[in-house]
Amino acid sequence: METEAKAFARHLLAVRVPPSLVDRYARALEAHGLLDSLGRDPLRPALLYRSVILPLVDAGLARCEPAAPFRRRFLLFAALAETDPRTAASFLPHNYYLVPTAIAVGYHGLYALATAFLGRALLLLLRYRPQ
Amino acid sequence: MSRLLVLGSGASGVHAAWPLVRAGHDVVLLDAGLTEEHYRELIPPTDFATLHEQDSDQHRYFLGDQFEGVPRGPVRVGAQLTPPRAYLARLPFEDLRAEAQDFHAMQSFARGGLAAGWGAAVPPYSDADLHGWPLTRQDLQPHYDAVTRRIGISGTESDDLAGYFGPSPGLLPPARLDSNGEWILATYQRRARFFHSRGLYAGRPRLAIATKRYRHRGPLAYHDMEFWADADRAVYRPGYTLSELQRAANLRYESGVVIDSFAETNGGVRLSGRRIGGGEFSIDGAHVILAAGTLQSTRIVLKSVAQQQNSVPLLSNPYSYFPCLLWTRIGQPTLDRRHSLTQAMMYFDPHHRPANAIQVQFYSYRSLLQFKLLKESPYGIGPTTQLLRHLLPMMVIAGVHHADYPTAHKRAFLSGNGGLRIEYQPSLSERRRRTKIENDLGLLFYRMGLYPLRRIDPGHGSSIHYAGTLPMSTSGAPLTTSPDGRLADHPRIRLADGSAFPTLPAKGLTFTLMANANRVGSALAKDLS
Repeated sequence: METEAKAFARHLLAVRVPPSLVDRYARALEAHGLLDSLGRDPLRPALLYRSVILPLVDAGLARCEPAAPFRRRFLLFAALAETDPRTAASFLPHNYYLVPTAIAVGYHGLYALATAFLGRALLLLLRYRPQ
Repeated sequence: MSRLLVLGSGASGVHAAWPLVRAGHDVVLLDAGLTEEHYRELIPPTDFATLHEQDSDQHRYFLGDQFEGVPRGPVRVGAQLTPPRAYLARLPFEDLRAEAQDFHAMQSFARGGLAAGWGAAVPPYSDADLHGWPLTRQDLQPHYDAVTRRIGISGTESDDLAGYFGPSPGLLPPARLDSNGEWILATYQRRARFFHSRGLYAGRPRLAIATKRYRHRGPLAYHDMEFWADADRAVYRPGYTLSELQRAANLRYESGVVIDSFAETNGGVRLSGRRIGGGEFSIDGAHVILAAGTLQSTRIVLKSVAQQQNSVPLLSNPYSYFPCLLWTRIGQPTLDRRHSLTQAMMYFDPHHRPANAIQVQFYSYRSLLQFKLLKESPYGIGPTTQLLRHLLPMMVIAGVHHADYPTAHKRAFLSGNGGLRIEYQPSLSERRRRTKIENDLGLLFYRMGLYPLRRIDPGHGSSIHYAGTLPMSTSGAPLTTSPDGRLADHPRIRLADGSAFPTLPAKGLTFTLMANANRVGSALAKDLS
């Protein structure tokens, strides 16, 4: 659980994940019936130990399988992180200057598109590779 | 004097009871009366930004102690029913749930009804809206005025929506707009002639908000917490009127009961039902006003009145919403002190046919938190979070209400288990008309600097406005009501909620629910005097 929370935090937050957030994450997974939801999903080890893959798989799932257990877990973690004062800063609005905002929107927009494209291809490889 | 029974404590019930109590009648107000105390105690009375940055317990009320605030399915209907407001849609008995496929039937058994979590917009119906009703605006105007004095309405009479709203006595000062609302209205003003030529009018909303101290409420604190708490008691809730009524010696509030049926007795009416704590319940009265909400009142009437015909028409405002980017605001600062409710309103009637006009309400998205939007994103959570951090301050949600009229394919039935079954299927021409006017509106949004990101149709019933099941008419036909609210063939039963509305104009209906209930209550008081 802690490894998973840390993997999500690395991708989403600018700070280390507080231990109380990990505890809360475990309780939230249980409340949502997601505690063992990844089971033997072939994505699991790749996600937890190869952090570069995580954003790609997430982006790939977003369009193809938005209700996939992995994405529901990540969304649950994001909700918890957004409502914790130690990590909420990663969700608060940025400055409002025109040029930095335009550049940031352009950069993150392209990043979102690229990860969505690559993620779908990667998902096909991971899910359907020959055993 | 003989005892009068009013059923329901929502927007209709309390305003139907008011004139009866003031006339000195002995009134019993019956209500399921569900309340919420747990989260209310947890939310500090401060602004959203401070709570979000500092309160280590915020997850308890923002997400809920069982994390029920994190949606399990798509976020479509009732996003505003946050954990502290979820009790509004709780059912005390499972058989009260309406069976409905492809229709969202939300009912409330809470003290104050669904309006305990409403958006507080109060557009009155015009004569054009009342086409097909046995009433005119002139008939309703004294009751709009009475309700306005009772609940406190803020707004202005000096913008382009003044004609849309009509005159209103004693308006409180308008609520301060947030940065997005100001920007939308300023852009509209610069091109007002162009927009008028296209049938689009915009202005400040009229809201049931106490912007200054009013009847022990307010003033509005601009905490941006209206979806979560009522610390400043500025946004009107029917529970406040109920508390005022409870101070009168001639009103008895009987909570914890659900009424299932009525039977006319010798010289009166008996209501029968159940206590939420267990056991049966019955009570006798000389007259009954049913104001339990359209779906519940309809269930009670259909169960009580033996009819060959066991189905009735059903109306619900079709509703869509458009997350829009106010792209011309990039690089502009945003005011932090604001409220969460409607910031600007529009009325769009491109063909000068009020029956097909639509109402648009703009909200800024902030205090409902980002995670609900992340769920809707077709992109990864990481980049979406980063994009939202930059774009959210200039994002508005445009909610669009359409009118609804009865057809053969929109009906409610009494099902075998005594509950309601709903079949609601708009015709192809209705759907086409809706799409066409929304497309036309979208083109005007571009001229206003608004970029609609997508159109979301949350599905039938998503406006949570239900009406038209026992429509008022002068025909006296079975399962209709007379203009003063009497159920045909059952003169001791009056309907004071949306069930008696023959049509649903493209406007929020709650203000008219209150005014019509006041009218029905006043008519009964007059008949008994």
